[in-house]
Amino acid sequence: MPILPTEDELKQLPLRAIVAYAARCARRVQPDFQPKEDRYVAVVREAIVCAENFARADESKRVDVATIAAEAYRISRIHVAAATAYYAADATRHSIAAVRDSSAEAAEKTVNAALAAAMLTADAAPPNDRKEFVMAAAVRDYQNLVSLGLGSFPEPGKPVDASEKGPLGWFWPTHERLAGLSPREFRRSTAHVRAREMSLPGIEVFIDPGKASKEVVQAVLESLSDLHRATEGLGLEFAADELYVFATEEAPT
Amino acid sequence: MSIPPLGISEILTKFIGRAVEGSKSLVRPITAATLSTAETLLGLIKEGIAPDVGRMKESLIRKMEAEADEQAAEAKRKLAEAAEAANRADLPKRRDALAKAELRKRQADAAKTEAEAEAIRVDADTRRLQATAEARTRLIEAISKLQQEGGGAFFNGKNLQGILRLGYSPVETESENPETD
Repeated sequence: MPILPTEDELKQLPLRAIVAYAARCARRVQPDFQPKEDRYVAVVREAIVCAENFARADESKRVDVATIAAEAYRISRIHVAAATAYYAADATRHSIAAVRDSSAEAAEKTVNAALAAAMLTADAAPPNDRKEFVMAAAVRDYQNLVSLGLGSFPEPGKPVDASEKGPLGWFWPTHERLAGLSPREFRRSTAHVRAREMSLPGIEVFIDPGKASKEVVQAVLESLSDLHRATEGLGLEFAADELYVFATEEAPT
Repeated sequence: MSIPPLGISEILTKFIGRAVEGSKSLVRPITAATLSTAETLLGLIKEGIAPDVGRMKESLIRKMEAEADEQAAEAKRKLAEAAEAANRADLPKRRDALAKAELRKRQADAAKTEAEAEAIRVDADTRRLQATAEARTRLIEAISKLQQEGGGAFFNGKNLQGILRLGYSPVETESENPETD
């Protein structure tokens, strides 16, 4: 079972990255929150969005984060998704205070809120066998955030897009996503994959050899095939398809 | 001051990497592996490690008459040899992967209890995540070495997104007749 990042490990990240981590934890359980009251859905959505906006340093919309966090807190007992969204907003609130007041205490509270968000999603991910996938996805996010080199704690750090369109990618990596689906979704997914079977198109790779030897080019292709095998495939087989010339514009002299 | 004509500086060869087929029981893992690979490569594009070939100006990518240029012909020969050598070097690894995949399946089938099956699955997932991270690092190193030699590897964002869309688009027949849980 993967182990969630500890407090000390989260402190390897700057504040925006920690908030991004919490926001993504909240996004993972958000679809499970389906209350009868639409306004509750809106509260959860706003709480996560304010965290995402802080993570990417988007200040285009002035929002009262404290109010949003307070509203999320009021409904946090209804469902784990609401509680997680609250912790994402809470991490945002404390991060803003940490930056504004250079407060070490607020920075610590940011870390605690993010830890709570991650633990809640892992403990309550329904059905129970999704737990490991939720945790693996959170661990992957943490590792990716570290590798992005966004800055150091307790600085705000570089902006990061916590959405699926950003550098952290999808909330659920492929295998986790396949296995983390609801029973009905999982059946659909497997039926779908069966239906398509081997009809997926090939992966296109364009190589410019430059002055590299055959062996260097070969190593790139072999590494690609190794990547496929690492994800439990049998490898890739390469065939040259077309030859292009890429002509670059030269600067005026 | 004059503006010189466009200078041909790089020769790109497009390779298609197709997933090696396996037995019927392995179809789904292989398909999932292709989706995972496409996802990882999209990540490399996003991180700027391997540029998206689609971002290059269309007008700057022109199909080439291979015989017209000696330099291009040599590059083509080198790339063809590299692909052949990669495919050849891959064979023993492929056999090994096939044996491992079949072993994993046998172990999963032999699990007597839910807990045993769970332990096997968790172990496999942990190993897969670790192996993927290591393979990704090796790929980045290989691309970096190619770049140091004045070359480059590019992927096609549209191709990768197309693969993922195909892999995850809803099943029409089931959406018309939804199941109940």
